[in-house]
Amino acid sequence: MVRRVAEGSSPSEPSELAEPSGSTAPPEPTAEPSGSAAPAKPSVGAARSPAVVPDEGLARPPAASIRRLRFSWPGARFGLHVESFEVGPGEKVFLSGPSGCGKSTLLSLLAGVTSPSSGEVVLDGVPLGGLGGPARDRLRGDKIGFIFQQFNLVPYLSVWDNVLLPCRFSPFRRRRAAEAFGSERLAAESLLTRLDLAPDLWRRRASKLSTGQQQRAAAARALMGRPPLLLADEPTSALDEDRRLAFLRLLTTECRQAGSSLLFVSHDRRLASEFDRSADFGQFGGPS
Amino acid sequence: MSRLACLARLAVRSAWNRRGTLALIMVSIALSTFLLAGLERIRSQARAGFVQAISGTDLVVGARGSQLQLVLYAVFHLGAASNNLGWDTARAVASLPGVAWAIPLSMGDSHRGHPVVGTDGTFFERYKFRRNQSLSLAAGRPFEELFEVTLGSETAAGLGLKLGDRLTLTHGLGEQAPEHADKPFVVVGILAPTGSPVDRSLYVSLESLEAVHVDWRGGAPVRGFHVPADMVKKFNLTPKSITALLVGLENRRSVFRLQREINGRPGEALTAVMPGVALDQLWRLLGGGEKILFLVSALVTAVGLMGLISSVLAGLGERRRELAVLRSLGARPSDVLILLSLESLMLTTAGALAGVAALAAALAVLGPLAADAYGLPLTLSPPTAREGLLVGAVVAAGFLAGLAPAVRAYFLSLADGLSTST
Repeated sequence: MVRRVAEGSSPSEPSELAEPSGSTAPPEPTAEPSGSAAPAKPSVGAARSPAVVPDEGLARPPAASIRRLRFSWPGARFGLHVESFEVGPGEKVFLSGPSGCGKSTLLSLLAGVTSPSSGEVVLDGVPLGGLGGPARDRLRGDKIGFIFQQFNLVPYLSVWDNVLLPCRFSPFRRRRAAEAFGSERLAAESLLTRLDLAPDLWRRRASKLSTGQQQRAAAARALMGRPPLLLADEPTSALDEDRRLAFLRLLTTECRQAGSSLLFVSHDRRLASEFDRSADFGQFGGPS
Repeated sequence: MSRLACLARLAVRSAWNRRGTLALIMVSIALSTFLLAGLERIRSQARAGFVQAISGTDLVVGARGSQLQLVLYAVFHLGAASNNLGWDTARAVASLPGVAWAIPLSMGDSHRGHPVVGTDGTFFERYKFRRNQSLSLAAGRPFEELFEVTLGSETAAGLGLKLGDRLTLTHGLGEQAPEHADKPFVVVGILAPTGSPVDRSLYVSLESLEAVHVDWRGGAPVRGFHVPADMVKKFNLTPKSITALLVGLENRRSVFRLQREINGRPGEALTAVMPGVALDQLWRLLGGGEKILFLVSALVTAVGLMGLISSVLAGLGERRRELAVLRSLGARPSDVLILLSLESLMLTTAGALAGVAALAAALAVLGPLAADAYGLPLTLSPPTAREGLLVGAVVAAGFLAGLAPAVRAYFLSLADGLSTST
């Protein structure tokens, strides 16, 4: 079911993974082998052809879809109104909008942490509306990897423990990690190495890392166990100008490797060219 | 790894990360536990010391009167008997079937405020205190001859008396009372500390007491009649009466039968009391203070737990982000609740254990000192059931106190959602 990682070195060889990070630098997005993952590039409003991953037998449902969603903040006159929005399987979507326009709320709605006033959110084929709180929490743990703007990591845990954390809360992702890499430890080693984190950092406490290192560790954690959807909330705004693009390319490459869809929320439109599709958050606002 | 194990591990790591603050809370809980369990230990040992001031004696017999008064003067040598008990009657009681031994006690004189007790050799053989401990001598020997005195440890230490010293008896218990100055006693022995009223007393033979009173009538020397010390042996020194009789039985089960028999004896009216029962009643009478002590230490514990609540609540602001990250990884609000409850449970358990350990250490170090200085038998022994209960109560109260911040975190984590950017 799950694609093996098509990389030169087998990820199940710890000795190789333990080498300095430079030797196992991830491939450039442009230089990736053609055909390994070919996400569909649907345009807004057009009917989407499901992005079939080559060795995936069945067509996968959209990673996330929203229909006729309405949400209003308590006491506010304006609310969120999303007629239709979808992130196809394996699709990388850039969602732009100024800060403070409700992007975090949209992510909370997608994650099932916040409930809409009306409308429907479907995560990887599962409608959230019919689920109770614990089931939604579980679905979130299974289906979504998060990268926040900052403060992503649990500060008192090591990088290693942070990356393994999704497997603690989600047996589904533990199983997926084991299926793809042999074990969750090998999965963590592989992810950390490819995200350019040298082994001597792994045992360090997350709070001792630089911002860039923290953000890459957060990406590794979000990708752990290959969740169908990655939600990234301004993940590059804490990074230096010249590091943003490098991080973004690393992230999109790994998403492709993991077969995860990516919904990337940012106010920085210059990044949009790295994505399959971009949408403007402005279309979601309106009187409630 | 099960979910609970994962949460427990997270709780430990998180707590370790904030160990500076949490250590302070733990210390306050440890102090509360130390205080509660320590006071309970002192209370129970003081009670044991009191109730077991006399041991092995099944009945205390005296002239008809108040049971409490009889125990007070016979066991604690406090106050005076209103009536004495005829020597013949005492001997008759001592030879009742079922009676194993009887210690005669004769009181009324003192030495610089310490009661002087007339008795015989049975006292050294049979008298027992606290869990059947026998008397032993720290120095010298029991009195044998006339005008020999054996001292309780506190008497010797307090008055600075040593073997060979001479002392005179005062008639009555007051400091101003007339002295038996013509017949001095010599110290021949000093008893080892017992932590009982024995320590404060002086022991002489019944005959010695008779001898100092040979030329006395009605509490004063007989005018114009003086018997020098070396002449008293010519008189009959058999006591005419004594104050009380401590009775040991061959079979403890016959105590009620014997008590009824003595109380209902024809002739001289007697009162027989089971000392343990009377002492227990007396302790309950005096026990109001211990309730106040308990109340105070309970309040100290409550203050410690308030500290727990307030510092966990204060720390919650900094942890909102961390909790939101956990929520994004699929942690339920109930997981957040469990995480914080586990923390307070760990904290109070560790604090309570530290308190118990500190108490054990204090007992090991200070216990022998307390026993020497106050005769208070504070020993290092396994915690009593009541102490265990108290420590359990501290842990339970700490857990409940920790629920308040945990419930707040639960609702915060629901309200915050994933908005961790603020």
